[in-house]
Amino acid sequence: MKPVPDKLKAEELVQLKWLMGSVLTLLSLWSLWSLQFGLELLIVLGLVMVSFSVWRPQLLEKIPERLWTYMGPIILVGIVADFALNVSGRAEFLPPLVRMVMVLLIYRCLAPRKRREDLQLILLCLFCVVLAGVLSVSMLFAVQILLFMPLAMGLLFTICLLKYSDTDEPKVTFLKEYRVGLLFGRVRASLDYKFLGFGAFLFVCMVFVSSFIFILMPRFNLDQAIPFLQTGTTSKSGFSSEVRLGKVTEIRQDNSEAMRVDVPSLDAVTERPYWRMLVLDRYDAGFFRQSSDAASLVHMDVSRLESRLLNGWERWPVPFSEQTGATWTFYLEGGISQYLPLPGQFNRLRFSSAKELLRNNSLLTVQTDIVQQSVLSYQLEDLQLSSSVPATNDEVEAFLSSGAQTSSIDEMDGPSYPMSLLELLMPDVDRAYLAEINESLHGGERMNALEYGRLVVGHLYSNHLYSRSPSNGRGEGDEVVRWMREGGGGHCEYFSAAMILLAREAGYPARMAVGFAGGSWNSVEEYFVVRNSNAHAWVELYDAESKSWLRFDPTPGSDTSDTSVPFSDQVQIDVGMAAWVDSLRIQWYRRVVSFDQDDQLELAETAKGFVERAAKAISEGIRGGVESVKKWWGEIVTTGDWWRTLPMVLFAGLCWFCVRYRQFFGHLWYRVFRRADEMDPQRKQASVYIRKLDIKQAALDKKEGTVPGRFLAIRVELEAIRFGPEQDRVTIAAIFARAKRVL
Amino acid sequence: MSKPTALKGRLADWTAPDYFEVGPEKEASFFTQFMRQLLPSHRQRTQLTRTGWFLIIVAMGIGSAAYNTASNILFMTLSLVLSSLILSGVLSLFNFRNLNWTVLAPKQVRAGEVGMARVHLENQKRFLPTMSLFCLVEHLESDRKERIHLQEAVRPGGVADFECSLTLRQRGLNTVSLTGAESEFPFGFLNKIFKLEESTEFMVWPASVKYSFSKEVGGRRVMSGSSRRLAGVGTDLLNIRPYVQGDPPRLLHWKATARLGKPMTRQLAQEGESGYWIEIDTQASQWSADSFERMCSAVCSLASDLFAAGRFDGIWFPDTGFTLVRNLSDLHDFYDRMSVLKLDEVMKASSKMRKPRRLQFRATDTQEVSIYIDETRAGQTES
Repeated sequence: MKPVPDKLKAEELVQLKWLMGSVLTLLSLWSLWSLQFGLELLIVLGLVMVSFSVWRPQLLEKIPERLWTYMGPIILVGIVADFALNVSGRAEFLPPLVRMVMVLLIYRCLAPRKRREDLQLILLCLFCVVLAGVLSVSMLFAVQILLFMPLAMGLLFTICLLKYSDTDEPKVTFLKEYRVGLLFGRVRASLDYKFLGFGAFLFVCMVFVSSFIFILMPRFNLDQAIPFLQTGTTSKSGFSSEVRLGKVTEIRQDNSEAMRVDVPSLDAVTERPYWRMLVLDRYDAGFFRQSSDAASLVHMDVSRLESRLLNGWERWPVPFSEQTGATWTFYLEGGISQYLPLPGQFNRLRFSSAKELLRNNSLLTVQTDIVQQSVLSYQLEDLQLSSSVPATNDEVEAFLSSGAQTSSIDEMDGPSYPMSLLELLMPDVDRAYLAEINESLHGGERMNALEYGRLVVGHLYSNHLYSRSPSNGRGEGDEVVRWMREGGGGHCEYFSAAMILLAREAGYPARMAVGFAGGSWNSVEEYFVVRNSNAHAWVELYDAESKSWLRFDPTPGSDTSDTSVPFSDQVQIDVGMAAWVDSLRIQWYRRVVSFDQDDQLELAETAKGFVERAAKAISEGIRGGVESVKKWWGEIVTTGDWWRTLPMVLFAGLCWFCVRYRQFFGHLWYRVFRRADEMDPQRKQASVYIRKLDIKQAALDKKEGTVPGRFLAIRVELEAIRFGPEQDRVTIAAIFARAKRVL
Repeated sequence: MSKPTALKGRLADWTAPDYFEVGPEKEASFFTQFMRQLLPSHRQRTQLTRTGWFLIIVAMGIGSAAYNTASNILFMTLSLVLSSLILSGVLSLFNFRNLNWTVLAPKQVRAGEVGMARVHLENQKRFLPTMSLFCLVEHLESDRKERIHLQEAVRPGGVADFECSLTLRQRGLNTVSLTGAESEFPFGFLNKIFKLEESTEFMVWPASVKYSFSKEVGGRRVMSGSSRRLAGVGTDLLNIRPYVQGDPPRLLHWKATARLGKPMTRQLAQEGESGYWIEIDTQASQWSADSFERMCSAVCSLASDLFAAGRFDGIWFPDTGFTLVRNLSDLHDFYDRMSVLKLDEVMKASSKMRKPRRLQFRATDTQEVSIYIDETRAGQTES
């Protein structure tokens, strides 16, 4: 006989409850780590304190209970002060809120707990996990919530068990005898593994049920938002409106994923993509920046709006013939930039919820109002990769009227856009050096921007090598010009800056574009991965002939694409465990984070399509079967080979025989294969009818006070089958039929 | 929940004693069972506990935030919270399945004493234990239901007993009923209440009273050592008869038992002093309600002591006449009759038996009861 597991005593349940509460707290503190609110120190302190309380809770008991009571108001005062000192706008509301929750959580975990306090602890832990999940949208949330649920349910279960025992209040002595190792041993000894297995099975079922609920829950686009949940952070410095030379390259040190792009197919990526994010027009001593003064903004067509759907650029529409409705879905990691990567023209830009946007129709960039802390997803419909960008009318007119005049530091007070694209603020010595190079390149001959650009790119390729550490010693004059003089290695910003300066000196308006270039293909889930190491800077040169900005990438080794080979054959393919792990992340974004009404409709359509196809296949199968039978019969009639019907007739006869005498066969089966304790199926069936009759009889008796005679009559017959000698099948079948009618 | 029916397999064996008892309706059809969960019968109630209300409020908060922000993280949390509520309901349902309840009444309990009733619970599930249950017990005299909780989990196939103390004030036929079971298992969100209709009747004997009684008054002393032709506790063998419940095991006659194949008891002749018999007068004109109760208590108390001393022969009732009390079983039957004894409005003839050592009881002015032996006062009850 199996030994009965030794049950846990009430004291041990209290200890277990304490332990589970502490583990929940640790889990919650871990979840808060993903928030970038500068709370790391407080989290570490909390982790240490809670871990210590798990290991040695006896020391906490030395704290007098009165002190815990007094601590409450002190904490409250601290919280109020924290809010008062730190909340000055909606963005600052969250850090003090999270601090408040953390302090309350640690206090509640360490203080003596009764049932009410345990429930408060669970609520606080849930709040932490959910808040961290909502703000970070990290895949880790799935792991954390799936750990949280069984722990919380285990804790609630223990609380429920304690309620039904004599002791449901923690007493000092219970924790004095607490030893983690001992407790684990006792828990293991008392575990009923069958029950545990059943519980695990039910938990898995619960996860499935919750998935169904998640999928089926109706989604409505209310386009509202709780304001303080829109958290921002600082962007990577190479992706802001002011870029110091070298900042983009700093980003390249980081090989983590910056963006994932779901493309219609790899073939849709026809060339090396340049994920254009922002455009910088002004250059001043090693700094590239975007014109931000009021005067410049007047010349730029910028609109601020709040929307979840934007139409494409009016002056850069997607040709109607190329509008297929294909969507590219972007998942931009948090903390990258306010600017959205837009690698070409598109028909529509769509977000999952309304966002505050700044749309620059001159530079053809879109930015959000804050740098998102969590993943930002958006879709571009009918995206066409393009190596050129159309110029605005203002630009065309401005460049037409200005001719090839360049400004100097002495002559202009900082021109507004687009004249800032010809601005060259540097000492005359440096300007002269640039003029010398230009002379050597085009020899004074006027050429179009494309030819000029190629010349400059060739010159830079042949005179400089790529290096992440540019050899640029200290000295006077412009940093880029100095680098050009020295002829050393440099990174993309130097190459691009050099080209811009040369072009401006030659009278070609030029600007720096910053973003990402290239990427790799994840073969597991088939999407494009763009890493921070793909950060890049390139040049846009104005071409008066085509009235557009042509893209030039003067950095050596950056353009590895061979135009004779399709890009899909050249792109780097990610394989292996890293690719698989990253594919989980894209699955998370696709299936969970970005799941919306459209996905629900798509699922419904898929399900409907499946059902329709299945029904069609079945009906075709049936129709085909009928046709073949007809054909077969027709052949027999035509040829007169009636003997071919013999197998069919025999089969039909056998079926009829089995159905007609099924009771006999059932009885035969019972006789041959029955277990020792198995009852005759006829008697068993009679028992079933008798039982049903009893129930119905009792109900009628209670309701009407009498029992109809037919009940009694049929009961006698059923009892005869059940208890009496064997009867023939026909009689039994008739009695059963009558019983069914009575019931 | 139903009475014990399934001994093995789905259908009961007809040899089960309660096979033909009608129990609560048991749904066999899955669809009917499923609908019963959605629309529970009046026999089931589910109430939200305070924790459950918190859960609902939290779910509503999360739901509002989810719809407000269109955040799938919040939708995911909401769906997990809702599914945990569903899981709670499913586990709670399993906790109550296949339980067999039996109520066992207290035995040999007198009015004014505390009787212990037992609720016997059998877990007929094959895999799952049952735990965290309360059962609700009431009896005729109680104005509220007693909530008794299950101390430990009942393992699959195991049994457990709930003990309930009943304070019984009045004699007579009483009923102890198991009216329901409730549980907040497993997480304390929902309090599920199942109505039960198990009850059992038991007799509450009259209360014990103090009394004074002098046996020598009016008693004809018989020489010790002689035997009487009455069954008693002497040493002379009077008879060998079949065993009846209540006979002392030491009186079993093993040789006769072996020979006849059924238990046989030695019946010994009454020895020593002669016995008494009690005449019961139930005429309403003789008694007030209180004195009648006192009389019943006095009769039983005195009879108990006389029987223990081996000096109790029998009792005479107006409607049934004289009944011998030879053994414990007869004595208990006598107590049962006294428990339900009522005053008679109709005049009935008194006993015509002229047997000596007749004990009679009469009311006094002070609500006490006097005890008479052959018309001579021999004692009375004392408060």
